[in-house]
Amino acid sequence: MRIAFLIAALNELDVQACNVTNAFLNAPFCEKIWFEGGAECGEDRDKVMIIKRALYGLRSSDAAWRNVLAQTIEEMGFTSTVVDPNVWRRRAAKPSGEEYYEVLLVFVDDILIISHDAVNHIDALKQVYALKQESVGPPTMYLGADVLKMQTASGEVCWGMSSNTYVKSAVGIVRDLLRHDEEGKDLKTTAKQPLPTSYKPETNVSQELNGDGISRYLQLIGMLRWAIELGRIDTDLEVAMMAPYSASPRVGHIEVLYNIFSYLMMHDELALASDATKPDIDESAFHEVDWKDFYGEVEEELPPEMPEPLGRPVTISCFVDANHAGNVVSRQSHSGVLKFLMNAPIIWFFKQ
Amino acid sequence: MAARIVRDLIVLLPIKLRMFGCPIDGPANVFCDNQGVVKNASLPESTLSKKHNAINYHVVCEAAAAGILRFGKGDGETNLADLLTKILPVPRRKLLLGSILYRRMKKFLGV
Repeated sequence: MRIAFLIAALNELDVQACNVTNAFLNAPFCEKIWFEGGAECGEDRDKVMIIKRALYGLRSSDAAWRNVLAQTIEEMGFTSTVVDPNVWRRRAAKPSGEEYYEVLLVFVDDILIISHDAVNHIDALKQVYALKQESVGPPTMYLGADVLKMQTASGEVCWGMSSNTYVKSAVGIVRDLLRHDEEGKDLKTTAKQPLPTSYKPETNVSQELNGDGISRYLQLIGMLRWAIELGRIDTDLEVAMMAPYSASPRVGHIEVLYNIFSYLMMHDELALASDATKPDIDESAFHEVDWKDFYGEVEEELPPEMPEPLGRPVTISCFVDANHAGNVVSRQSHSGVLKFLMNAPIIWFFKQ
Repeated sequence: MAARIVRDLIVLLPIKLRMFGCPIDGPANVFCDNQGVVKNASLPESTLSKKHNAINYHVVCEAAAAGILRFGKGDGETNLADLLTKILPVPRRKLLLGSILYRRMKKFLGV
């Protein structure tokens, strides 16, 4: 999805979203199932009913809905990209004659269209399905993340992604939990950073938590993990450092998690930008070398069924760093990888 | 080892982009502040002193030879991956984060 927003910014395309009302009921059911009508069937109570439509909750309903939607999208001229079957592309040309691929993303009943003429595609979908009126238009939320237009430091206007709403509700839940535990207990309001600079979780020797404590610890880690996935790169390291203690956390460890939540509470208005400006790359950092003597004529393997590339090219850059033997007890190293497409962070990865 | 992780992550991205029909501008630029790693992965004549890393070494170098990625020495002070490997002092943390995460108050439009 982050890649899709970047493609939109790069090729100056419009982004439109929509959500299908009672999506599953649009699909004919592909199995033969019957049931006896209950009280909700009124007069027809106790009669034998045969299911015709994919009802919510039945096992093959999702597949039935996907088949129906896939057929509609194919009729609109899109082809599924094999690497992600829920991402569809279609060759198109802007009024200026510039050719590119329109992209259509599907998540169950949420549809995101990236095209110079996205409104028309939404209209085409409207002909077939009943769309939720309030969901049609530029996206504001996608899979729990806030989606918004923002301005980067260079003045570029682009799409951004933020976990603001999610973080706010997560902080609310944690504060409620704390209050429930002990009268007057709350998150601190002084956290400038998630963890103190010299903090080493492996040296903590406080008491181990009991069963309830462990499940609380797991719950907190789960919430933080999703916030990171939605764009809070700034707490990735800290949460990844604390997560290995999930099996038997100590009192000191859970206190630190509360501190991370305090930090999130104090810094909740941050967003990632899908900045499509070309990064400034220092060519002098690289050497031109010939590897032929070592590896022969190796070439990058291209995916089969690859379409002809169209649109503006992207530059991939990546930052990597390792903290050699950073763990003072086990002497394990930590590696961190941050991958950018143009100037937009796409993947962040941490390994211990 | 970190270089191997990078290579494994990087090869996936162009495949995805290619299937989306998106052209890619040259090899991926990998910035690393460890001189040894950069030399091993960017100069064929460099000799590797660690025997047990040989497989990772060849996997990374082969990717460089195929033009998937190229390694370059980045400035240690501004390496953004520092954010993901060590707990930084507040001023430096803010400096590095400033180029990735934006504050809503100042820079957001409407919505």
